[in-house]
Amino acid sequence: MKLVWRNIWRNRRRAIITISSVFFAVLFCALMISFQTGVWEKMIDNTLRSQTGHIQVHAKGYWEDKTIDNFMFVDDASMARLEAVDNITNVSPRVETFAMASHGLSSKGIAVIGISPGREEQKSNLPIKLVGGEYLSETDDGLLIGQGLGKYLGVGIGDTLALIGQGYHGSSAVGLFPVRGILNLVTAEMDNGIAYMSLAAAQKFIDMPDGYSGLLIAVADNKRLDATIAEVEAIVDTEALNVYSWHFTMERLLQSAETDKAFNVVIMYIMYVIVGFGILGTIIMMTNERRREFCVMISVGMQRWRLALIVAAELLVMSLTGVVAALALALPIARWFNRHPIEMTGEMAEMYRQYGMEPLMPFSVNPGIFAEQVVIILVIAMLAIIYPVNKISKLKIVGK
Amino acid sequence: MNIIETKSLCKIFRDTAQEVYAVNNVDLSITAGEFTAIVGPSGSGKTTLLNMIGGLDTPTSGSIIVDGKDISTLSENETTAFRLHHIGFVFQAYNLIPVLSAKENVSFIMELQGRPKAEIDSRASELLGAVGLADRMDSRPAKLSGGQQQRVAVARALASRPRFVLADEPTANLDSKSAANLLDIMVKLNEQEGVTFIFSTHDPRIVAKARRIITLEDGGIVSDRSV
Ligand SMILES: Nc1ncnc2c1ncn2[C@@H]1O[C@H](COP(=O)(O)OP(=O)(O)O)[C@@H](O)[C@H]1O
Ligand SMILES: [Mg+2]
Repeated sequence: MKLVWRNIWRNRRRAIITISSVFFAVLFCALMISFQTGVWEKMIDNTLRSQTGHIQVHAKGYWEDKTIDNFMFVDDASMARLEAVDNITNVSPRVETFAMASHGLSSKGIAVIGISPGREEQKSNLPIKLVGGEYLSETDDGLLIGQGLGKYLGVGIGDTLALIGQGYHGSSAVGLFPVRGILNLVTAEMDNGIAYMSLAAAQKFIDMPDGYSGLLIAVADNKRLDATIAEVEAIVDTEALNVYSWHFTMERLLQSAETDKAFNVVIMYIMYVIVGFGILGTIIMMTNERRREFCVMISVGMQRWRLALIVAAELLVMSLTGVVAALALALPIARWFNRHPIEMTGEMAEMYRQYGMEPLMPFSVNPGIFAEQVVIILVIAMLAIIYPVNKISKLKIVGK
Repeated sequence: MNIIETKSLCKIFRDTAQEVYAVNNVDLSITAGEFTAIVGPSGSGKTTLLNMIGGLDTPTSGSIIVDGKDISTLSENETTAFRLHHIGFVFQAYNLIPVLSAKENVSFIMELQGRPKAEIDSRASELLGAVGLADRMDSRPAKLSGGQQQRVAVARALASRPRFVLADEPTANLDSKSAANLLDIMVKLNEQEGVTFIFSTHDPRIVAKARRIITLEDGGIVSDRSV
């Protein structure tokens, strides 16, 4: 109805203030949330891709107790089929266990991680962290250890480290391993407590020739994760094995992402509360200024609900104009920074590279983020509409 | 035939301290084609009586029959619809919707009635012509003088083809020349188109143009004479 447009146009200044307050709030909030979500999505994706995999395969019971007796077996044919799955970029079998490492009189409990050197290089770019010595070959019987661990135990390249741990089925695992290389691992925990060896050496150490603690599987497209998990389940023996998505294995990381986001969500709601009160103030003024006009309209025969509809439509048109304008700007900006992410510089960037991660901060184009802003504005508009609608329904048309 | 009939119509306003008999036991009949003035001093109950006849206010007791229908028994929505289809209104001031042009203000009523577009358009032009505003059809109310605004209001009141037009002191805010002009237009519409007008006033020069004069005092009719 033309009354809606005329009324908006009548008070152009106020309409522009309303529209632009919605516009700036939506623009700011959408980009803020988009940026933060994008950084987290990238961070999670980085971690999954280079460290833990999007999908993990373990023997039933392993996730609960992480003991060698719950290690798994997988045949070469299945491995080959997994690697052939379209969306899968990397399948890294692991042998993860604990051992006491000693050299001379010093000893320390460490994590022993059996890796496929080639696949690990492809996945996390492990060789880049070498500060001395050489990387492992596929059948190597030597170790790569963290810098901190080397210092603690007083071992260097070429020295031999004794490892004592638990083997399969209660046997004890004992071995002497020459140090092939020293790694600069980024966190102190890892740097002081990790030794890598080839899968073959690790399996021999624990006396379990074909055993793995698990498979870490990275995918190309996280959106197709569920389909890929189904494909993995079709390949592996699900009687004995469980297939886990990262939503399960990385629960803690997801939680910290949520906690971090909560702060910005609070800022977002504060913004919208301010905008909401601004709109409410405008609408209260507008309603009171137009009381007489409303009275005349009802007197000459306009039904109250029809009048309320016009006023509601005015507010809705203004709010939606603000939202649409803001999204028209925010979406291309988010898309641009999604395709051309902000690049980190300096130490941060270096640290990311050490982890085998890309030092990029993209924006997220997750439609949910933008839909959320629209919904919030609509809710605000609906709430603000209550005032004039209520006023109109109670308006006394005589005695003016 | 009577188009309006009130029986023992009363309106009592109750304040904390006192009761005001704004309209007191009024029996009144109005037939089609009348040109009737309700006169009386300020506070005599003219507005209250017109509001009740127009379905804008409800009586404390008594009944108002319009076109054979007791309008005091209608629901709020029914009353609103009844006003739209049967009664034309001209108020003392601020009659018009400020964002609409003169022609749109007149069309507005017919749009509410859901009339066809072509009819709305031709009737709005015709009515504005009849009140002498053919050349101001696209002006907004703010661009019109008080007298012109009231003439638009008369045109709007007629747009719905009502059974009668209620005008509560339509000339109160006008200078005497505009007031006389407005009355002449109302007289002409009454004589040529047979439109029934009931208006209140306390301007003796306006009263002189009426053909029936009902005088109120303290809410009651003290005289009712036709001239
Ligand atoms: N809403 C109201 N509340 C209380 N008293 C009212 C109200 N409206 C009118 N009155 C009283 O009713 C009487 C008649 O008023 P009104 O019909 O406006 O007279 P008029 O239009 O002739 O000046 C006056 O005494 C006025 O004070
Ligand atoms: Mg009055």
